[in-house]
Amino acid sequence: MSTIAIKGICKDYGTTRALDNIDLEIEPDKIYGLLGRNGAGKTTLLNLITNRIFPTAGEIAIDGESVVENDRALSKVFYMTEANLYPPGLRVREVLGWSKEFYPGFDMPYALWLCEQFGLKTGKRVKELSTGYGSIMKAIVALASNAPIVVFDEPVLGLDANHRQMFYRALIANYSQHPKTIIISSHLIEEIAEVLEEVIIIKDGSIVLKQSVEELLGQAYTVSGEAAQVDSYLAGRKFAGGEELGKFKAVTVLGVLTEGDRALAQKLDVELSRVELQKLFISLTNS
Amino acid sequence: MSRILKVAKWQLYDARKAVFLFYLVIASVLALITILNVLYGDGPGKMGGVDVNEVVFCFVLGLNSYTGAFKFTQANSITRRSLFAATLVSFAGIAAFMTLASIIVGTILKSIMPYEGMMMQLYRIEARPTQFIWGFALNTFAIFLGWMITMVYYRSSRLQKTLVSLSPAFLIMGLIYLNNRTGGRLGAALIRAMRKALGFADMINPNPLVAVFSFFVAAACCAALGFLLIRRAPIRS
Amino acid sequence: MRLDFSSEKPIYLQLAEAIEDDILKGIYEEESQVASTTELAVTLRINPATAGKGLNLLVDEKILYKKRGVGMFVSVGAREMILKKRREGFYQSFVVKLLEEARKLNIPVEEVIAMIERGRGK
Repeated sequence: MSTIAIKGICKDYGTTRALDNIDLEIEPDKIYGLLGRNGAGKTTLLNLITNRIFPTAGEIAIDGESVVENDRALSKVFYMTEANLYPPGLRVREVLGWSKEFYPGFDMPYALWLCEQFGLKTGKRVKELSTGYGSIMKAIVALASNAPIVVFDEPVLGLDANHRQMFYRALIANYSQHPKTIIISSHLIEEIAEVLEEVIIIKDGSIVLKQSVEELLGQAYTVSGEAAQVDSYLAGRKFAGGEELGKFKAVTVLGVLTEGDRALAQKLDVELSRVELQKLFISLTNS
Repeated sequence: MSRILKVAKWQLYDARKAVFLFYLVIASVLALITILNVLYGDGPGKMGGVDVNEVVFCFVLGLNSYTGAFKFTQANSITRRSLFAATLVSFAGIAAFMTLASIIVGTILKSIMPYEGMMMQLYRIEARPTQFIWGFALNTFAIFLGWMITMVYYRSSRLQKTLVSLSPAFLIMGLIYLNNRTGGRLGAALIRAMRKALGFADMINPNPLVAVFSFFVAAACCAALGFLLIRRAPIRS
Repeated sequence: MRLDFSSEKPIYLQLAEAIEDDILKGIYEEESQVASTTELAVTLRINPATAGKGLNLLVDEKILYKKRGVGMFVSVGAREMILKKRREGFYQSFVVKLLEEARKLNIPVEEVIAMIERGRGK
């Protein structure tokens, strides 16, 4: 049960401000999604949390201790990065072995079982792995590490559809049986929408949203149908973005659904459905 | 086992192939020399300098040590502080091991031919303990020098890298110029200082322990500079 | 058990209803064990907290009960409870919708009733 407290974090690269005054409380044992467009600052934030880079201002603490050059705080974190940091000549089983050295809670039988499930040959050298299998290896180490905080940066990069499903299943099972704080940064928003408990959206170096997925999706919905009918429904309502195809129109409405709304929809012969997290994300992060 | 020792263990593990290869080459060369010696017997003069290779090897090892270790420790959420401490331990270990090995090699060679190690050639001293500490200090200096150079390059911007690469040339040109301006006195003074540092203040009875001290000081300086550079080293993609 | 991720009905509610359906269909007999939070979450690929919420909803309604250390079980009389609940919702969920759809298709109410009779005859 570990908390991460991020206060007043700023990160500058020369004259560019990559992160501006970030304040975040990461509560323990939840699955967080960190979403943002390319270059928004997701990886920068994750690198700061894990002592890979240093803040220009502000501080980050795990269980009250600053993470900067702090072995004790950092021993609670495992960070699966996009980049490969393991020596290219090392074999997969050696990577697992050394991970166990540095993460005493590492579950080796579980890791080996996952390798088998994914078809990852433990005798292969890191440099021989394809992009997908490189990600698989790192994801397996992350899951088996049993660190109280596990951070995934683009975990399914290069994975085929089957492996992606397997990863999500493994993640859910692992989290369910051994609750931990999980932060996932991914561009495949719709794929992880149901797995996340809370979502944090970064735009241009600032946090624009931090909310539970359930609440967020409860505050908006989609209305679709014949364009004129949809427009009637939309009268007097706040909405954000939509699609048109011929006479068909689908629009994201901002608001909570009431019985009255449902009745109106039925009368107008328009359909009400759940808003997609990805669509909400796109409308929130379009300038 | 503490985190630092585990990292050191990994660094030693990582170096094992290179070290093994080195001694394989040395062993092959020795075998060749032995055969030639047996065939052509009492040739002229003395042979020497296997241990020079070892110093070069240590230097190159230091050069190659940083990047892989840094990435690996970052992957396992280990602080740069711990990596530095582990580096001190593992480098000392490697230096000690190789010094020991070269003394053994030297002993073997001496038994089959007129062989003289570096230390004998320079100081005319044979005592094993002195040989060990002198070789250990020199190897340590070599490793840290290589390591420090890599650190400098890692932390440098492109411009800085260019300047650093050119600096030896500038330094030498500067020294030559100044030497000419002082009518050769600067050069002589520098050479005298070097001699002193290596224990040759007294040319008849040179003192290797002075060199040991100089090597350790130099190694410490390299380590210190490396530490300052590693403290805030960012991860690079 | 299938969830409709595009329906505006919250996932945990859908899950609860799906389990109720399974109880009605006899897939889960009374006093038998229901799939655990983990199993549900993994199979349906949803957050375990959501799965837990759905199960807890049924526990609150006394349709399921928890056996500590073992899991969730179907209560005795669960079928009856569910039937009663569904009956109360039948009018809203089906009859009102049926009449709306008929109106949309311009089917007079008398014809609808005739259709119901026809269906009953089968």
